[in-house]
Amino acid sequence: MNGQKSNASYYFRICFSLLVIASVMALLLAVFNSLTKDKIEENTRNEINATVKAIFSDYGDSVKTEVPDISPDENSSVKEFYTVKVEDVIIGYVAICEPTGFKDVIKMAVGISENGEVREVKIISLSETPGVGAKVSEEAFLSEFKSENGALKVDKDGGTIDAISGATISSRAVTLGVSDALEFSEKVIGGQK
Amino acid sequence: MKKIKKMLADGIVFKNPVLVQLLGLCSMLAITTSVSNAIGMGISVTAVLIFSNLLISLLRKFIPNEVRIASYVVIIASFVTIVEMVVHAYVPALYKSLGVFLPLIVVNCIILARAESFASKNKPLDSVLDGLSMGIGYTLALLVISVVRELLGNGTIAGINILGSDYDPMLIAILPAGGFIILGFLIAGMNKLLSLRKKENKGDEE
Repeated sequence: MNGQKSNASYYFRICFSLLVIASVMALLLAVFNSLTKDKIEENTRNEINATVKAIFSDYGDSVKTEVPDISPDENSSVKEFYTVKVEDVIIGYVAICEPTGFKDVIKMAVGISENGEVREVKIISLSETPGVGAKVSEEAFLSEFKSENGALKVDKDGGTIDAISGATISSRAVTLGVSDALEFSEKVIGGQK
Repeated sequence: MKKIKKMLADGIVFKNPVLVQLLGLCSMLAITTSVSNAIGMGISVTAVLIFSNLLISLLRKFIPNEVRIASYVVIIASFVTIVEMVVHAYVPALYKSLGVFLPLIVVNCIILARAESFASKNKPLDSVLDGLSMGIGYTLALLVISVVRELLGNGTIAGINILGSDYDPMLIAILPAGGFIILGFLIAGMNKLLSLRKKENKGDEE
């Protein structure tokens, strides 16, 4: 052996190389983060705008969204809420909800009219079982929510919504999302009077 | 040129990371339910393989042996995060459908395996080629599996309906159990292919 390295220089070499590698990678990450941050934010905003425009499609491009003064409860499945206006007149609301489904969170948008009734329910993303729970994204199920208001439940729980057979948990999750959205929209409507 | 051909052949056939080395099977099972996801995942893994192999090969004389795994993981995790950011910004639809499996590329055994067994012992250009060929092999394996799974389980390929609207989908093909079974058939097929070639080579030597 070429003579022993002193303990100090051995440990120093190890720590120094790790420090260098970590610093270089951290720098790279910081560079790419700043390069992509704005585009990512823009994409998210565009996505929400597109969802709102799709739900309120009869109003065309003049829809604008605002965030109301109150925020939903932490336990509520409502994660984002927007007041939709056309030329300063409230035409409705959109709630983005993330109730827990069978496999994972179901991301959905609930469009509510200005008098607190469901206008439309859209599923944004889900990872439920294909052919079973994933069927909650089909129009046949989602159209059941149109014009509903108040606390909603699936038929198994004594409510009015026809759950998809074999997909009780997924159906319950979507129903909860709509219920929470309606509940919060009532608070917002109440606050605006 | 001969070296390039050999490395490509290794990555795609003889040392195919999925069908021969049996690496990265977890994410493969989850991702191959749709052809477009499989291709997106394949490209992401290939990108990480190329960049991490390159950097690790460039640093191979600098990284002390005792902390090599820790260093590799830092490098690989950073590149995965960078790929994640780029995909999120420029291909948001793919970002959404890959979901948690994009960051999980960090623990995809293929990348650490190539770092340890190739990039740490070879020159940068060779390492890039190795990353590329392993990535291509991975993508092709995922492509074949996902075509079978999406076709049987959904009647479509890349979202395009092939089997008609009367097709009653074979749901098990989309579930992990079915994916595993389909993988088994493909590994068997690959083994057969490789053994036939061995017989051919033996025949030549006699």
